[in-house]
Amino acid sequence: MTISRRDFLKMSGMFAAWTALSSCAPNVTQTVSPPTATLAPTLPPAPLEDDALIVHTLRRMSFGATPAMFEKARRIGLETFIEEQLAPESIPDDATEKMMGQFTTLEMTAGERFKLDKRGLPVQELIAATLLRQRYSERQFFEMLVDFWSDHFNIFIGKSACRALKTDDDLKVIRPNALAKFRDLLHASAHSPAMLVYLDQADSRAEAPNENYARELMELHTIGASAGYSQQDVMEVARVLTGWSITGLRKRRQDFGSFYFNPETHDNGEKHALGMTIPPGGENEGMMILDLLASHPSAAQFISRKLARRFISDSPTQGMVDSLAQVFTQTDGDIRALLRALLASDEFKASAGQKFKRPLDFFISMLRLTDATITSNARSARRVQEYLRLLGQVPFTWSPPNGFPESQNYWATTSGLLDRWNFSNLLVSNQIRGVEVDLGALTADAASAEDIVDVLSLRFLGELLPGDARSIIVDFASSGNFDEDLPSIAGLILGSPHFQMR
Amino acid sequence: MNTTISRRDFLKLAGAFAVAPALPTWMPRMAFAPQGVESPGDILVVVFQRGGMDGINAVIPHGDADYYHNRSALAIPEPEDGSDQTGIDLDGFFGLHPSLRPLKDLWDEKTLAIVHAVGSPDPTHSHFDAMDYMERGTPGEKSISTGWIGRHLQTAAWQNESPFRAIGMGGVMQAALRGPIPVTTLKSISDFHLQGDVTQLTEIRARLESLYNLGSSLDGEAADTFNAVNILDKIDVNNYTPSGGAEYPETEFGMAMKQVAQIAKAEIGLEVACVDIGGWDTHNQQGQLEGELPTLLNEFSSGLASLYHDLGDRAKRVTIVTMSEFGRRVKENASDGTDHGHGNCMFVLGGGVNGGKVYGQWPGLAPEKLYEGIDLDITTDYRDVLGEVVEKRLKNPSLADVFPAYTDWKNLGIVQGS
Repeated sequence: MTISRRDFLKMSGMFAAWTALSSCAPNVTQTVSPPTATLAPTLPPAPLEDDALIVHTLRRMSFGATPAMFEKARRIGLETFIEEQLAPESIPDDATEKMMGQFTTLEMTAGERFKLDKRGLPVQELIAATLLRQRYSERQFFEMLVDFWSDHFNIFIGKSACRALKTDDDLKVIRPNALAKFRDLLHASAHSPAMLVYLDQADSRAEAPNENYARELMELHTIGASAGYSQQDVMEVARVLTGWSITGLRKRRQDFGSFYFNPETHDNGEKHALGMTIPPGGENEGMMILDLLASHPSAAQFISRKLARRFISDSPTQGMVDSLAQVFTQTDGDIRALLRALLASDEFKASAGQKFKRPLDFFISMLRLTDATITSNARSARRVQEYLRLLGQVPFTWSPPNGFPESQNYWATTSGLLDRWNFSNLLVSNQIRGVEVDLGALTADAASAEDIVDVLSLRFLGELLPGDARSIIVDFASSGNFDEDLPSIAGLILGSPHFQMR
Repeated sequence: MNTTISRRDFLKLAGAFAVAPALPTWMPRMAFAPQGVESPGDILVVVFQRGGMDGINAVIPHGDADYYHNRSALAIPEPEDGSDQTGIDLDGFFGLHPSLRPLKDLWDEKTLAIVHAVGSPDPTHSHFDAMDYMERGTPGEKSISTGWIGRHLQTAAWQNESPFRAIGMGGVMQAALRGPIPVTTLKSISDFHLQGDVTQLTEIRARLESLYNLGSSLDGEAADTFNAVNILDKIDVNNYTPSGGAEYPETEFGMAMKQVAQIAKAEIGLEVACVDIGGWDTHNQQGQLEGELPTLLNEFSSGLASLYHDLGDRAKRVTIVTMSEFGRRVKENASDGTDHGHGNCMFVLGGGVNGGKVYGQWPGLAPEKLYEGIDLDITTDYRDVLGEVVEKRLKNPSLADVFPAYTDWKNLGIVQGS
């Protein structure tokens, strides 16, 4: 983007508006940001290129980069900002954590949750908690990574006991390991009761191994289908994993839902998989396989390509993937190191605006950037969820194990675009019950049609619209009463091709 | 892959999500001639059963004793007249699962044909690779990015500018439709219009059209969207009553089939519709006469039969083909389910079908006859079935383009036509 000094000052004005606004939103921003009133005078003017890079990087690192985030990154520098986001525990996020207090099932054991399953409460609460975190958390990059790994180690929350178990997978597997070593994440996932139920591993036993998890462990979680393993390998890994099950699988009482290695259903014979001879060794056989897969060169490629597709473009170059795979190998699959290298790469820096927002990216970014207030959290999150369902992406509801698709080709359909135009309009005209947007507050300082369009563009996109698009919307805004037409003007910007990309 | 989602799970989830789909009701027949030259061929409806249907429990080889040897818990008993607890005999050797009852009349009328031991020759047991190969029409070959239907539309001798020439039901585009010809994806006809302040809608729409005409990667899709909105705006979707006693299942699949009927009847240039039905990956507790698979089979067959009956006379110019990425292991597993297999069966339904017959050569289920010692072998390449439909019913002779690299064509005579 190119920002003139005038634009820049205008943005500073917007920050003030944001701060004033935050009293009606949960008090998330204020807890971490210094007062922004003094921003304009003290901020050293950043070189334009740097600012464009900040805008691009923050848009990729978040479910919508707010003025407060831009302000902070400009103040402390992009590198420091990235490091801070890579250490989420260092970022105070009390307001978001406080919101989680209303979701009682997050604190329960799987057995307790299972009792409430008939009311659908554990599913509802986990989805609502996830959406609220994406909307409000200061740890935006972390939430992006949680979303990424939740797709990578996809579990369909609607499948039988997963309704009660996915919560543990989210809180004990994905979140603690989202920025860890890939090996740790893989081991945690392989011990996740929800995963073992979802892919039928919990039932697998010596006399009849179930191949479902063994296959997806290789194909989707680690080395990829093109790594050159055979059906025989799948069957042997399935034998290795026999006995990996959960407690209380049948009775689902108090002790229900912990990982349990059952030596009685484990196949104690020797196995030959992936070029390795695996002597009888109980649970350790599986650990050996997981270690082998986690450090396999194909896993380095597979995970690197997937990260690049999520954060750079739908078709990253092989060179990009190779360089990330090298980092993967050198750091023993350190996810932080991979992300650092990715964000620092030339290919990343040259990829502004190339990623189509998936429905979740689109919808949550609308909520964040319009500073929408979710009025009564749990119930409103359910309404948000209903729109996400129509768009096709409610978290944890993708039933096949490959996770929600990443590509623009998949999501940018006729009905997909139409829904986006319609839902953005509904949101800004306050027709989504339980969600409130105050466009007047966002545009308080704007005195002309041009101002309105520019203020809203900066707010929604982090940059001004390019001239041709800007003049189309300015023309619309000038044709009537721009105060009354605010929702339509905002709807047009949110419906524009520019807002669909990140 | 899992998707062993029982009906109970589904309903529970549906409840949890407060599903209230806005469904179209009635769309009177209206003439809306597509621009260009009309297709001389049938409307093609492709139903993809995602997850890998258990073909030998859908169309049971009750005459093959090895079927019963391999499936002590899951096998469907040999047909007995008048029983709904046994297979429904078709020809003395094959029979329908009792949950496929809605298809029996169509079999008797000879509008339904079945092909067995059919599939894609690639050995993969990966859902994603298998689906991908099948929909691209290029087993084992990933370098061609278009789908077989996309290439059919591209190489057909006629033009049809209607945005409803090809539709993907469910809001996403099936990989088979990929290609240069635009495809409209659709969830619900009645919801397919622009919303907003009514006094400003025309203006807003004009500005959106301008914004999507500035060279973004979304411009083509947006143009198709506006075009489709224009056409559907002219159709009254209230009070639709299906004809022929059709009762569509109240499921996503059933509603999709119903909307295909509405669009076919509206005469807005429909040539191809793709519809998905998921949930076939029955690794666990798949059910014999009742349960997960039987429930799905019933939904599937009711949807097919309803569309056929609803179309009435039009069904003479419609061909419905079903497929799934692979079949399932011949031997049931210890979880009373079945793992990923190879050969499967396909259904071909329509006025131009030489029905009442099971096509293909049955390889047998004896251990030495099985593919890799475990799976039903494939004796008919699925492209033979599709190729014949493309050539004879869709009137497109360019099979070398639609299925590149396939030369070993066998003419099974499943459908009528030159």
